[in-house]
Order: sequence, then structure tokens, then C-alpha cells
Amino acid sequence: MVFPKSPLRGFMPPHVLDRIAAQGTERQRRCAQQTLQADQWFRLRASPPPARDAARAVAGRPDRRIHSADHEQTLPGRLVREEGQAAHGDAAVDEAYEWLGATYRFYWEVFGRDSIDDRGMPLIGTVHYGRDYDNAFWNGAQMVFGDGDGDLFRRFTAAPEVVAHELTHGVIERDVGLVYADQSGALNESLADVFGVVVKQYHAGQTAQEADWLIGAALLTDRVQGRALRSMEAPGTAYDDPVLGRDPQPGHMRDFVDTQADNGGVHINSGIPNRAFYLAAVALEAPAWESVAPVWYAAMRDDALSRESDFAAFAALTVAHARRQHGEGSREARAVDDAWREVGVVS
Amino acid sequence: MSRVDVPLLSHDMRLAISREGGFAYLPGLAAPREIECERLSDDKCARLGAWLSRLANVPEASTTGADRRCFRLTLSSRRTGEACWQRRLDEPCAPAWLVRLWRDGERALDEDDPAT
Repeated sequence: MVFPKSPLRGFMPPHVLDRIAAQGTERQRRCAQQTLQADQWFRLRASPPPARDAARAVAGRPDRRIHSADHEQTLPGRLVREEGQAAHGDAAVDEAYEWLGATYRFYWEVFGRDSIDDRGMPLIGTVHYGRDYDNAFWNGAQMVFGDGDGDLFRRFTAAPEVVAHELTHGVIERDVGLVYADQSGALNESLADVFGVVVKQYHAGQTAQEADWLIGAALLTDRVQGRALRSMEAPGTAYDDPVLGRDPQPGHMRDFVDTQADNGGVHINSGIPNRAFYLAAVALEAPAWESVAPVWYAAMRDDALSRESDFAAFAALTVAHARRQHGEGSREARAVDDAWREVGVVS
Repeated sequence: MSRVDVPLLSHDMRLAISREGGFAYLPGLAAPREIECERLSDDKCARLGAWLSRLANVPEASTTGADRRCFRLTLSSRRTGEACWQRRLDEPCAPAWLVRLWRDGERALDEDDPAT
């Protein structure tokens, strides 16, 4: 048997999951129940999302709900801080609350977007997930953050761009649903990095020239030989460590990595569109949230962008939107066009 | 062959277990753990086969979300390299023995495993 290049797309029919949920071991039941919940939510996402909680519904104000998994892997876990409540005192809880709020504010103040679904969806985050857990993820319904192992990684809530990255995966899923594999998956990852890093710059009031353009710098302990997990300015240079290996990201299409690993290189080849955004942003004087982020945002929401779009399709949309927003021969339009040419996506 | 039917293990087979996904791709942590059935005693080979057969009740990895981690298991022929069975399981669904097998290799087969 020869397997296709793309990873097998898993699917277990709901009736099988139901059987496992009813009859399996405790772990199997828990997994099946969580899979059912996520899949049901995913299938229903084309329908109107559940109405927001009317008691707290105010457009322009987030509805944050932070849970603790208490080092288990069950979601969402125990509710520990809700919107409006005072600081909890647990750093992970309070960081998740703060950075989810900062991300909400960015989307609201810059784009007029009311949460992940633009309809006030609650921002559900779970911290203390698992033990020594070196990861953060979006599961289709909420954001999840590990504490890190303390040896290589610190807690994943420590970096605002990481929290914003995960929330942005929810935004991408609602707006375009880019397939999480190969070039569309790398574009998905890049958009999460782009808006993650711009949230950080917006919160800090940094210009493109002042920013470090690093993703996950605050996550690495002093034992790691590296600056961050990714560099949008110089993909491939973030770390070179005996344990983690060497940052594999390319910054140009000539170095595109054709691989089966990492869902077809979604966290690898994202370096190419990441660098295009960086180049366009630093070519302009205005901060990134005023110059190129609105262009990227409009391209992401354009109906012409499909679930399987590649880098070239997205690049063409950003150029079109830069011209539409700033004028045909504007500096912004030229900067965007030049950036895609410099990374080899446009020739 | 259905992906949930584990083939009968033979000494010609190799099991590769890799942990995939996550917030970043880290090459140093991505190498698969490989277990050569040829190096296992009959008892251990039988134990491995029994453990793998339990995975029939574990859901295939979800395709929703982003940055989620999963375990990929591939059984292949050492002689031809051809894969004959493959599963992808969400990390939280992975039984404890699978995590030990990935982390410690065939040493994990020294101890029996409670039903998970």
C-alpha cells in the first residue's frame, strides 16, 4: 500500500464515536466525547453561531472565560476567571485573560470585528493543560495553553503573539477555512503569525522598524540556543539548538520545502509569506496595523480566496486590495508587490 | 485493508511512531521512534500486537483546529519499505503505553500495561 503525500485525513463515523463514548474505557470515552463535540461544532459552523450571552453582550467588549485544566487534558476544565473579574494571581490565568483581551481590542479597534465570529463569541481559554506540556493550540472551539516543561519551554501564555496566533486561527477558520495542509495550511499558519505579531506591536505601540518580528521569544528558556521559534524578518535563523535542531523555515520560494511532515510543512513554508508581510511593513512608515495589516485582512476575507488557495493566489489579492485601499500607484501598493517579488512568490 | 485492522505482526515489520503537529515544527524532536519486530522476543511481539489492536476503539485524529499534536503510527515491511497500516491519533487520546513506546522505544514493552 502506498500512502498519499498528504497525511491521512482521519474520520471516524459519529455512530462509532457514540459507541466508544458509551462503551469504551474511561480515556476512550473522554476522547470520543471531545471529538464528537468538536466535530459537531465544526459541522454546524456554517449555521449561525449560538447567540452571545445577552446579560454580558456588549459589542466592543470581550467575553473572556479562562479555565484551568489542572494539569489534566480534559477541556475546557474548571472556570477560574470570567470577564470583569479581578486578577486571579495565577500568572498563566492572568496572561491568558490579558492577551485574549488585547487581541479582541486589536480586532475591534482596527477592523471593527466583534470577536472570533464577529458576533461576540466568548473567548474561551484553558491554561495548565497537561503536565509539562510544550504546546498551545486551537481545537476548533477554544484556545489551549500548556505550561511548558521548564527545561526548554516556559508557559505558552507568556507571549502575547502566541495567544493572538491561536485566537487568529479561529478567525481564519470562520472567514476562509484554509485547509490545514500544504500551501493553504502554510498560509493559514502565516496569517496567524502575521496578526499575532501585529497584535503585539499594536499593544506595545511599536512601529514596524522598532518591532523584533519574532514569534515565541518569551517561550524559550535560557538553555535553548535560539531567540524564538520563528523569525518573520529572517526565517530559518530563529534557533539552532542541539535538542530542537535548526530552524527549518525558508524565506524564499526557491527554498520551499516539499515534505510530508508537519501537515505538508505548514509551520515550515509559512516563513515565505511571513517574510513578505515583514518586507511590506518595514518599507512603509506607518505602523503595520495601519499600513499592511488592513490589506492582509481584506485579502483574507475576500470571497475569491478559497479553502485551498496557495501563496500566489493570496499575493494577488493583497496587491489588488493594496491598490483599492491606497491607490493604483501608491507606495503601499508598490511595497506589497515588491515584497511578494522579493520572496519569489510573484515573478 | 481497513486502517483499524492491525495486521498480524511478523519479524519483517517495522513500527514507526512520530509525534506531529504543535505550535512549531522542531526538527530535533520530530524524528520517528522505530521499533524493529525482528529484535523483539515472541512475547514482546505478541504484546505489541495486542496493544496495537486496542487502538481500533480510539478515534482517528480530528481534522479541526490548528497547532494540535497527534501521534502517527506506521507499520511497514523492512524488506520493501511498503506501509501496510497507518493511524493518526490525537495526543490526548493516545494511551499511556503509546506515549511510553514513543518516548522509550522497545523498553516500554518490558512492562505489561493496564487496560487504557
